[in-house]
Amino acid sequence: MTELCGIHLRGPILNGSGTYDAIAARRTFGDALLETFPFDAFVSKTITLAPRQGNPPPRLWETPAGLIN
Amino acid sequence: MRRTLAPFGRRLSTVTANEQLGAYNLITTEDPDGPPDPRPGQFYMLATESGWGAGASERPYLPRAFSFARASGGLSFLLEAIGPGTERLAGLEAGDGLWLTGPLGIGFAPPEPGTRPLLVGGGIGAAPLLCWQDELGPETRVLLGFRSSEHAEVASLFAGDPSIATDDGSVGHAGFVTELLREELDGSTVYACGPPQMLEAVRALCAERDTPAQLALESGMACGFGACFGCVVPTKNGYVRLCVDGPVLDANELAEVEAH
Repeated sequence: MTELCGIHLRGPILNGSGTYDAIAARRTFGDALLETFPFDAFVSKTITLAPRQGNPPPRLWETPAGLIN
Repeated sequence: MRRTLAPFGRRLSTVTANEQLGAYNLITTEDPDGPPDPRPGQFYMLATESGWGAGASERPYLPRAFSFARASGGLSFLLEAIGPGTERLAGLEAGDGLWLTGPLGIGFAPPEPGTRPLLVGGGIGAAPLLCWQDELGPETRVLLGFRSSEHAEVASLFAGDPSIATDDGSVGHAGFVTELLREELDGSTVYACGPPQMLEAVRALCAERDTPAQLALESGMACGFGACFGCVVPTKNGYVRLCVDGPVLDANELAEVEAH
């Protein structure tokens, strides 16, 4: 059990704030995703009132042992 | 059905063969823990067990997305060694470990009623058309374009008698595969995979002739299942992620296939 700012979590693993789309991931992996959900709390990306298209591609660039997204 | 669910997480498979086919490699691996029925057009994220993400150059780092070529007699992938990821994959030997995540994305949809399927591939884009022809039947027409006779050796994997075009005229028609397509597309549903310039030519031709078409696009990916939004392509309705909304898109969704 982990406590974070007064919130009790199953463990200490949180995704970094970002675009992780758990709904899309469930479309790919089915309910197995929910049965073994990889995070103990889910952190969304910033949420805005109006949808945003985001930046034009390319959005990924591989670097030595890393990734710029 | 256009999507077979993937087991959650990546799994290690064992390579059984690496066959040189002219300029390409056909890598076959055993995937007993994966589904036996991926849909033609779906893809897998690949990374070798060793020599990936470390070492002198520390590249490749990201797994690489490949549509599967066949899923009978092992799971096979067609690739050309053109960079750090594909060069490492092309060096695989029987017995080596290959990490798999997949099958991912959505594959081809059946032909429009009253039409016959017509498969059009450019270069390495022939890969997903192999399993699609297996499913549609050996009589399915296939048109393939390559740079040279060395690349065109892949055509021998297809049933029937695929028509071939090469840039250098060393095999078949000297010119573009879209010139062959122009002669045959009436009454068909076109399925195309290849470089963006070819796909744009297919899209424009099919739009001009009011012919339904499905295009298997390509993009660099990091996750493969909708998390990173790195693989977006522009459509008439904004960006879509190729990994979950594609890689097969209806040509009518696109105003243009952009080069990348």
